[in-house]
This record gives sequence, structure tokens and C-alpha cells, in this order.
Amino acid sequence: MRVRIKFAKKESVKYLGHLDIMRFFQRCFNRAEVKMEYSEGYNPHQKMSFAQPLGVGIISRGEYLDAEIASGQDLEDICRRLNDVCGDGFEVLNVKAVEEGAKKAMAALQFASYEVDVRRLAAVAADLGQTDVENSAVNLEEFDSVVNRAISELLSEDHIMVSKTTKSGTREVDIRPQIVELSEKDGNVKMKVTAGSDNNLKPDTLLASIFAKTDIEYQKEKITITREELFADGFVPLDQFQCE
Amino acid sequence: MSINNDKTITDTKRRYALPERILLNVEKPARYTGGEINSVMKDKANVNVRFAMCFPDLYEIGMSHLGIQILYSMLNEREDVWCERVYSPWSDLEMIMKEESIPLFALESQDPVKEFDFLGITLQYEMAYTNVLQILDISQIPLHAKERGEGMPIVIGGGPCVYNPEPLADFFDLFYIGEGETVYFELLDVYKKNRDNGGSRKDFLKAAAQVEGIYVPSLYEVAYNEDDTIKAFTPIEAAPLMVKKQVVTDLSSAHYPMKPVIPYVQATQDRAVLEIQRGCIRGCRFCQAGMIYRPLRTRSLETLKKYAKEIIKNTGYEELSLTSLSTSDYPEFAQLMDFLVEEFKNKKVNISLPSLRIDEFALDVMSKVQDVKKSSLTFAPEAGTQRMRDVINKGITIEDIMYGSEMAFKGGWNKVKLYFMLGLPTEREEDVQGISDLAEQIAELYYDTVPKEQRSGKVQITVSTSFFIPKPFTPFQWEPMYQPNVYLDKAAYLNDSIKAQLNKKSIKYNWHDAKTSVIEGLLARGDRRVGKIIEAVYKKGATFDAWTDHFDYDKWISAVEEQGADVPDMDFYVYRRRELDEILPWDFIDAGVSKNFMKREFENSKNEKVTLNCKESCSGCGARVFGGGICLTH
Ligand code: SF4
Repeated sequence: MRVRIKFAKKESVKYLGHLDIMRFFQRCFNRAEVKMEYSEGYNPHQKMSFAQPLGVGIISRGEYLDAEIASGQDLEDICRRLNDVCGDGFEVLNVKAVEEGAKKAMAALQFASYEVDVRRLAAVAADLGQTDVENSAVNLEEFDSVVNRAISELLSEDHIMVSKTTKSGTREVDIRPQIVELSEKDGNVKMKVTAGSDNNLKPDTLLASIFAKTDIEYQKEKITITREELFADGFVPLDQFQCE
Repeated sequence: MSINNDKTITDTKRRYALPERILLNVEKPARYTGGEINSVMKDKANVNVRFAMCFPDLYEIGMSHLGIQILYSMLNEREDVWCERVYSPWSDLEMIMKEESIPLFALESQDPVKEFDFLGITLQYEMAYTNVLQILDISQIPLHAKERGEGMPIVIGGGPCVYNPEPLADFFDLFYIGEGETVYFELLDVYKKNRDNGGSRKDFLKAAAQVEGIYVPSLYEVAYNEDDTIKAFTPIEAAPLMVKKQVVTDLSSAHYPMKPVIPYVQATQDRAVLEIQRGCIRGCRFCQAGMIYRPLRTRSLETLKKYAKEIIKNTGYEELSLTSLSTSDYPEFAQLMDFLVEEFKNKKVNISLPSLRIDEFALDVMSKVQDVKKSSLTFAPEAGTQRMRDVINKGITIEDIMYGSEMAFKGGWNKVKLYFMLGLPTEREEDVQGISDLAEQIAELYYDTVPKEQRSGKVQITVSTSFFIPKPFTPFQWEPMYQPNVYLDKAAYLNDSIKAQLNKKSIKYNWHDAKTSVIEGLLARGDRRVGKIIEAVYKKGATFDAWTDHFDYDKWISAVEEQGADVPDMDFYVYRRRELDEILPWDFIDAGVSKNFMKREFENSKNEKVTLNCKESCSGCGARVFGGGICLTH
């Protein structure tokens, strides 16, 4: 049977790459003694696939992987056992059975939501250097109004062209249709954008476009991106989509 | 988002030594952030001794090393000690750390290494010596032991290279000679006691020298003859004349890590490791490991069964590798394999078996644990003719090799790897030719053995040669090396010869870099003065010499040439035949295996006389003094 596992990738493992996380889960299943289904052949592999790779440096409270497991196992118990062996950096949020014949998480994925903490950019803008933003008196009101103006301006455009570099070279793409929701408050940018293998918008790309409309210098290493949730069609979170 | 959710996302936030802007701009930042499953966190306020354990190479290499995992888990069992790990930063980060003056840090606490009580560096291969200096340098610890003040860590070296620690003598406060499981606790107790008594660094070093197996280079003076050889090697301040190698007598009761640290970043050896025995009975005359780890000691079958199950359960690895020098010499090998195959059949755990001698049984086992079509069989005849194999005491005959190959071909294998050495003592042209002929014979055997309709393509034979490097504590320790161009001529000769064989299309040939080999030779048998060369070459920017694309021979040679009169040259250290009565830099180490045995074996090699292995008969090598292992059976 197929199960869908929702998990969080936290601060302390934010520097792991996608392949590291795949290997990590493979071994978590083994340590938790989950009975898995394997591929055929001499070197059998666990059957599992992730909804969407998560980049180095990004944390998430809405990651998904689909795994084929032997039927007849208690899913709540599996969830508990996985949490016992996955350390502090990951947390398994739920394990659900996927309906017979349902799409894999990877194929069902349509949208992603992100929350991006940009307060350190505000600190930079206020010329406070690398001040600890939690405790500093950065005036976020002014920052908010600048960013919000940029967002309205951006959203009022019919096309937002950005250049995208892929293996086959650099080309211009219009990201305007990929933006579903976009807002900012108290130094937090919230966005809902299209996701998946062929229509993916990276939060970083969108942020760069926003700040390009301001005088604030956009610095990638000064923001913290959290992936909040992954959705299927109709903005249904993946753990509620074709799951039992 | 609710407040609860916010709590889940920010777990015990680790503090990193490197800021995010650096971590996001270096290759594989998870090499530097620690926090792996089974890594040990302690409260530094509650420990007495902080130990930084370093493997001076990239994280992926260092994390593959069993020895560090053993010591890490053993030291951390002590409540008063916190042992953490340190690896070499890759060149991208090294540059940034130097520029911004960020001191090297340990993975667990992310605290600077220079604040620790000990920095232990494992010396696994000579080509890592410049990395050792890099570690000290970016840790902001003075390179020279004598310049280290009271607050600086005690820098301690261990591992196989300490059987000649002299080239690194200036850079280390002390060396631990032998197996780490024996006197580490005693050493740490001496350290604590000295500190409690308000003793100085020097006081500690003097006390440490009294611990068996500990060598404190600053307590020994070396005098040289006119001809640059050693005149005298003299202990001062009551340091012992001989330092005795430490050996675990009962391997079954020695500490073994049941919960090894599992790296997030894929390690080179990404699997569980079970050390089934230590030492080797064979006595190949070129092999340092075969001598310094004597006598052969085994872990009991019951212990191994228990460990295998537990380690796989604790790690979730999908592969278990048995390690030892000559795996099939394990007395209950058949029972062990039966158990492992049965136990892990349904758990999808693969068993990997390096260093097997190929016989019927081994093939039967391997066909159970490997994909015959994909895997290749490895033979290490080491030399191409029987005469040459007798010289090096490689107890394998042409019949063994041909029989093993035939069985393998019948069993479905069609890939064979053959390992040889070039430049062995007494080597003649016909011995080099012999390598090529042997490869050809095996290729022909394949076509004779396997009928056309059963062949899956051509037989693939890969011949690899390394250049012989004489090592301390081997019967060849007095032998000269050849100049790099001579080695390359030998490789070219062999290459031409293989290209002239009938089945040349089935035989692939690779050879090692000759320039790396002579530098390794310099470091392996150098004395204290070689330290100046290592320092000079490091200052020229050499690091990661074990990585072919980083190694820069010209830097090394110019470092040797710049030294002037007080440091001898390559001719002295590498290309010279040493006299049997010469004082060798490592003579002060008592490795159990005696110098007389080495001399006897050296004679035997000249007479092409084979010495029986320890199972067949004891040849009185001297390792019996340790009172354990195979010696007890005689
Ligand atoms: S003393 Fe004898 S049995 Fe023991 S290691 Fe030496 S040769 Fe082998």
C-alpha cells in the first residue's frame, strides 16, 4: 500500500541537500523497522518518492514523500517510530494511506506556499548591519510600506519577465501567471505560487523581483525561507488529497 | 500560522561557527554543521576534558574511517570527557577561513579547536601530512609543538603512520603508538591529575612519557653522523629508551561502536562496518600493516553475530562490510557468512567482502551476496612471476590464480581485477613481462572455459600497478626506490607488452603516479629533518596531496632543494640503500616484531625463500610478547 508522509525539515538540518534527505529517510525506515516494498532486481530499492526537492538552506513544515509499504501496519505507530529515530532535525507530522490509484504526491503537486522572513533586509536597509533582528528596534512600518508598494506595483503588471538559467541555456520566462497570492506584513513575505516539475516558481526568484522595485538591496543569505505547505489542485494540501 | 507550529520549526537551534553567508556559498555545507544521528552532545560545563578527534582529510573520507568511530564512542563513554570530530575544510572554505581569520572548529559544539584540551590527529597515510599542518594552521595553533603555550591543546598523533612519526616530530606534542583502545583513559587521567596539581604543560609531557605506548618527541635528542645517518637517539628527562606498541589482547572484549555516527552527507564508505579481526598471518614482505598489527587476533563468532544485528538495527544501513586484512583467514568464516546471509536475507542488507582469497568457498559465498554479472573479482598476486612472489612472500601460486579464475568464470563472472606492484626488490624484466603474460593467460582461460553461447560479451581484465614503496617495520625497510622515470619506463614496458598480447582488447591497464610514490617514500622513511621539508611545502600552498589533482611534485622537489646543508636530499632519503646496521629513525619503537626477524626475512627474500604463515607455523617474529591472538595456538 502507498502512504503519504508529511514531515518538517527544521533549522538544524537546513543545510542538507535533497539527496541527503532521501538517503536519510531510507535509513529512518530501516531503523524504525517499517516493512517496506522494494523494487525488483538484484539491488532492490525502497519504493519512495518525494513531492518536490527542497533546496539547501530552506526549512519546511510541509514536506511530503510517498512510500510503498507492506499492508497491515499501524500507521500511527509508524509515525511514532519514525519520530523516535529521525533526530531533532526532522519531525514526521502524519502518515496517511493514499487511495488506490491516486496520483503520486509528485504528480499531484500544483502549488506551494512559503513564508519568508526578510527582517534582516530591513535591518540592512536601516543600516544596522547584522544586528540581531529579534531584539533590535528596526522600524518595520516604513519597511512594510516600501515592500507593499513594490508588491502592488509588481502585481499590477501583466507580465513579469525574469531570466531563468537551465541546462539548455538561459531564457526569459513570465512569472506573473505563477503568482497566486503575495503579501507582506511585519517583515514577513507570504506567497502562494505554482509548483511542480514544469511550472515551478522559486521564492528566491520572486523576492528578487520584489526588491528590484525598491532601494533595498536583496541579499539571499539574509532571508529565511520556510516552505509552509504543498497543495494539489484546488489548493488542497497534499495530505488531504486522495488520502484516507 | 499558529504559535505551536512556530515551535516545531525552530528546534534546538544549533549555533554554527560559520555564518549563513559562508555556509550558503560553500560546497556541501552539511560537512561543517554536525548534528548527525548518533553524534554526541554534552554540556561543556559538565565535562573535564575536551578532546577534538581529527581525520585530516575531507569529511566524506574521514567519516568513512572506523578507527575514529571506535575512539569517539569509547572516549564519550566517559562522563568527564567530551570527544568531538574535526575534518579538513575543503579548499573553498579554507580560503574563506584564512581570509576572515575564522579558527577551525569541532563539529559538535562548533567551538574553536584551539580551546580544547587535546587535538588528536589520526595519521592514516603519508600524503595527508600537509593537511596536518593545515589543520594546525587554521586552528590558529602554532605549528611547532615547542611554541605552544599553556592554554593550547596537546596535539597527539595516532594511526599507522606513527610507526615512523619522526617527520612530524616537530609538530606534535606526543604520539600514541599502537591501538587506541588500551591506554587512552590512562593518558587522560594523567592529564587531569597534572592539571589538578597545577602542573605545567611540560610536566604533563614528562608524565605522559611514562605511560606505555606514548612517545614524546621533545624528550628525545637526535645526533647525526658526517654521512647524515643517525649517530644517536637519546631520551632525556627519564623518558623510556624504547616505546612499546599498544595492542588489544582480547578483541572480543574491546570497545566497539554500536551506534556509529551516521553522516548526512554521503561518505565514501557509506555502510556499516564490522571489523572481524585485526592483524594478519601472511607476512608479505612489502606490507607494513601485515607486520605492525601482529599478532592476528579475532573477534569471536558470537560477538560478531551480536554486533552485526545491533549495528544494522541502530544505523539502518543497507550494507554491511566485513573488514580485516585478509578476510578469509577468519577461522569461522563459513559459519559467519551463513549467519549473515540468513539473518539479512529479508532485511535487504547487502554483505560486502573486501580482501577475500578466491577459492571455491569464497566464490560460493560471493555468488550469494553479489550480483555476479555486475561485480568483479579481485586478485592481488602483487607480482607476475613465481620467483618474484617468493621474494615478497606472497603465498599464492599460478595454480591458485588459474583455479580461482576458472571457478569464477564457471560461476558466471567475467570481470577480473588484478593488482600488482612494480619496482619490487630484485625485479627483472621478465617479472614485469610476467604480469602481462598472467593477464593474457587468464583471458585465454576465459575463452577456453566458457562456451561461446554462454559468454556475456568479452572478458574484462583490469590490471593495476602501484609502485613499490619501502615502509618502516617491513623486511624491505632498507631497500632503495627508483627515480620516477624508471618507474614510468617499467609501466610503459608493461603497457607495450600488454598491447602486444593476443587478447589485448580484453585487458585494461592502469598505473599509479610515480611522483606521488617517491614523495610518499620520502615521508615514510624520513627522519626529523624531513619536517622542515613538509613545513616548506605547506607554506608553498600544498594541501590535499592525496588527491591527484592537488598534488604538486614540483613544489615538493623545490622544498627539498631549498633546505640547504642541514637537511639531506632525495638521494639520501629515497634512492639510497640503507645499511643493515644503520640506526633507523623508527628504531626506538618496539613493535613486537623484532629487527632480527626483519633481517632474517630480508635474507630469505634474497634467497627467494618462502616463510610459512602464522597458522602453519610460528616463525618467531617477536609478536608473541603481547601474549594474545594466534601466537597462543603454538
Ligand atoms: S610470534 Fe609467531 S605466531 Fe605470533 S605473530 Fe609472530 S610469527 Fe606469527
